[in-house]
Amino acid sequence: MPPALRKLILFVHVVTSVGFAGAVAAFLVLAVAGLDGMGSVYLALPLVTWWVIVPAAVASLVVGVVASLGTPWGLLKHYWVAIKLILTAVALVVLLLQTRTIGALAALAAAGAIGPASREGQNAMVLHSAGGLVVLLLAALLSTYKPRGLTGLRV
Amino acid sequence: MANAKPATGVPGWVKLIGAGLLVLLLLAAVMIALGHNPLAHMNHAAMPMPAGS
Repeated sequence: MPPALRKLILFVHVVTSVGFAGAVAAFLVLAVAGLDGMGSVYLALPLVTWWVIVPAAVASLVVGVVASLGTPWGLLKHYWVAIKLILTAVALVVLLLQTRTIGALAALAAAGAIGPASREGQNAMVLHSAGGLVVLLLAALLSTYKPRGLTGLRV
Repeated sequence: MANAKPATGVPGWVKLIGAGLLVLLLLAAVMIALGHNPLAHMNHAAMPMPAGS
């Protein structure tokens, strides 16, 4: 891969990955505010999810795979790259599983019906966004320190 | 003479992350088995419907 293209792909990967983590951090703040009684914040969650978090997550994963395959690091050669792939994929799957609850909470907020019945969903928003943020920060930590360790695979 | 570190094998930090992910997976499985579903108590009539439906 030409160095200029490699740099561009790396740039897109860094921006989408950091954007993913940043947007999840913003989501967590909104989820905590909602749990604290500010029910109207749930109206914003589907917008943040579908217009920022999901696109950033998908782009981060896809561009990350392209970036790794286009460099000597490889996708599965080094443990830190392989673990990053697993962490990002897990975060994306959990995010997509949560989109139904996000939509349901927004609908309840629009109807002014946030209350005891929605409490479990509200708790799930805080729990999953906090967990997701930890996972994404761990991925960023691996990218920065690149701990040693070869898997023995050639891809 | 001190023993040299083995060059092969799964590094400790990989095992740690693997164990963490396994614990999260087990926790999720237990929560699902116990019937925890955030959507279960919500008013499904209030859920957004696809456009045109």
